[in-house]
Amino acid sequence: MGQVALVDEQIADGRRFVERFAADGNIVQAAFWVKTAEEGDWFLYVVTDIYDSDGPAAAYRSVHRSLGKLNNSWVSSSEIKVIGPKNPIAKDAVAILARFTGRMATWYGGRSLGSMLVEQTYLYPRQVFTFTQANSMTTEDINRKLIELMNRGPGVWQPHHVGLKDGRSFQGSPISLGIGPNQCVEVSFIEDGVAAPRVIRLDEIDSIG
Amino acid sequence: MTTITSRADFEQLMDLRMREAKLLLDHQNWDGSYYIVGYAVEFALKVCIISRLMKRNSCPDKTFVGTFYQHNLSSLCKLAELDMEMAKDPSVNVQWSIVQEWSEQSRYEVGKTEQEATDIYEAIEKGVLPWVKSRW
Repeated sequence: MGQVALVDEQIADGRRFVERFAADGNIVQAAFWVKTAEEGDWFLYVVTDIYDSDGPAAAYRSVHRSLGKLNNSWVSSSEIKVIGPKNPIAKDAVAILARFTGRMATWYGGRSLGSMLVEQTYLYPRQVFTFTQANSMTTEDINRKLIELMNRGPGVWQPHHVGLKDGRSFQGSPISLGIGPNQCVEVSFIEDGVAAPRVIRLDEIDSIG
Repeated sequence: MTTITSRADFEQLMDLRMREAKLLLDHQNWDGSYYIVGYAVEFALKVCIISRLMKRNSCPDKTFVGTFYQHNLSSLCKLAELDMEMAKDPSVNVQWSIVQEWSEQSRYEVGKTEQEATDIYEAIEKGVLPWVKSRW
């Protein structure tokens, strides 16, 4: 019997992988965890154009390249399945995403995707793989950049452009990381011209430079 | 007619399925080639499992036997104790990802492309089969 529940680490690292895969230039139309009725295991399905345009070998080479860039991932290559947009499973997933346009992930309660019988499905929101700005970064890139900026010694305060995934932006400098409600990582910024620190959830940051 | 039970039988069957798949591929029968070629991996993994069993001094449990008689390549790979090594080995992990997609349910599917049929055949012929055989 397969693993019963999808754990937080799989959800988080699945997101990291999908972000990385999209940031590496692969067009992603949907990404979701699915527990199949037949095998009872969880698989991360990624719907990407490269599968139909260049074939499975090219698609999986890209998967392994992107996965190789992540350190200590809870997601292994054997859990990732790539499909093209023409696949009936992909068509159903894309249709579900079109119905749930919010920024939150979606638990889908349907019993099938295409002809595949499923027990549970967890779909990542579009913003995970749809970048609106040319300089979008993955969560891992953002983490690295934040730590780099916070490790700079005392000196002249220098604001940086912080882009948010909802399209807003501001000029600020990161001063600390912390854990907020729901165990979300939050970043405190000193904002240009504002006395109180501005606290932003890490997963809401699209770019920093 | 021979009933397949031994390691040698599975080896013979593996070679036969590869030849059939190549024939279908050469005649542009993409669906047929895709469907047939997956069985070659199934039999290669079963040879590996039999080899492992022969070295043991105990009887496998019921689940083990049940899984052996199924066609799921991921489960067979685990049974052969090759899954961890396969996933980590950069010389074969891309090919294994392609092969892992295969299911005997593909007999009910039509519309496999030339690219899909060729990719899985090459992944098996040049990657997964030689890798598994080297661990028999």
